[in-house]
Parts: sequence; structure tokens; C-alpha cells
Amino acid sequence: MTNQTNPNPQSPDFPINWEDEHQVTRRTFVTFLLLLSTTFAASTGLIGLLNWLQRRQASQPAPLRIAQLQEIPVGGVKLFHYPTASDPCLLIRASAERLLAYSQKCTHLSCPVLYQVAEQQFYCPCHAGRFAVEDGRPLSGPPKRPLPRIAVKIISDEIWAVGVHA
Amino acid sequence: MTTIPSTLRQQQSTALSLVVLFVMAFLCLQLWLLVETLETAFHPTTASALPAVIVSAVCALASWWLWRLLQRRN
Repeated sequence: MTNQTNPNPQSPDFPINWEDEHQVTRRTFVTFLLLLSTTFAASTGLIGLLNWLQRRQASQPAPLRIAQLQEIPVGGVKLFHYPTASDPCLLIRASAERLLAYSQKCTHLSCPVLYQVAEQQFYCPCHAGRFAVEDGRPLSGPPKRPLPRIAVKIISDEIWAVGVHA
Repeated sequence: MTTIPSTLRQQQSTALSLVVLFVMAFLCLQLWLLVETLETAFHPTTASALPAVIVSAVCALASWWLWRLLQRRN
């Protein structure tokens, strides 16, 4: 048996210093961070590209009949889905001639917004976000983007949704 | 065996620490941009992801430049 100095007295048959073996130098750490940075940039680019392609392919949706004009009184609200069944929207008859329609999904985390008649605002109960009824712009809370507006037209006393404006 | 003077060693150590700090700051920014871009992907009609992609790429290039700088100092 050789008379060797063992760095770890608890395991005499395994004379490898665990701390030396697993030590990560700052240079190695920077290299790892660089790889992570490249991965993040590539992922952001890929998601951005997919998003751009999706926007490019998405054409203006087909018009949809929402309701008869007489069905909604002045100040009344109607829930409808446009352009797909999973896109809830709110139609508000602000005056006899003026109709406003917005997506009901909050631009923060997609919670459904509620129309508050007294305040003339849309209110998101999830994080207390508020939007103006006139143009859908965010007034307070976490949302930073306005509610997507739905273009509506009155065609022979019928209200039609004809497009989505971001 | 040549020994590096302690002041130079200290300088190298400080430079290395600064590089680590900057790269980590860039990484935090990139992570935030990635999350923002993901959020934009769920609302494809509301905003463009192009500014986030550009800034993230610039951060990655800056990190790469700092890493190259570190390699040259060896």
C-alpha cells in the first residue's frame, strides 16, 4: 500500500477532490451565458418570424351579421364572437347612429373585460385594467395596448362586423 | 515559471467580473424581450415583434464581443 496523502479522509479509496472536479471558472460561466444569450436571441427571432408569417397569412375575416339595429337600445350592449367563435367581442350602441365594437379580451392576459356604463369604461377584473369606450385605449392598470376594434356597418337595419383593427 | 504581478492579476479579475456582470444584464434584458415577444405572439394583430428581435440580437452580439475580448486577454 502506498503512503499517499488523501485529500478526502472520508473516502480513502476515491482520492479525487470533488470540489476541484466540479469547479466552474468565471470564463466557463461567461461561455455558458453567451450560449444562453444566443439561444434567447434565436428564440426571439424565431417567434418574431412565426408571428410575422401568421400576420401575413391572416386575411381580413368574412363579414358577420351581429343583430338587428332595433334589438339593441341606445346605451345597450351585445356580446358576439368575431372573427372566430373563440373571439368574444362587445357591441355598444353609444347613440342612435353610433356603434362601437371591441374585442372582449384584455390586451394584458386575455381576461374578458366588462363594460361599465356609469364610468364609460371597460374594466378587466383580473388585474384592474381599464380601457376607454370611445377608442379602446388603456387608461390604467397593466394593459399597455388598446383593445382591438371591430369595424361595424349598418346594412339595411342590420349590424354587421366587417373587420378587425388593431 | 513566470508570475503575473498582483496588480495585473487584480485588473484581469476586475475585467472578468465586469464582463460577467454585463453579460448577465444583457441576458436579463433578452429574457424580458423573449417573454414580451411570446406575449405578442398570442395577440398577433396588436403589435410587431421586430424591435424586440433587433434589440435581442444586439444584446447577443454585445455579449459575443465581450466574450471575444476576454479570450484575447489570455
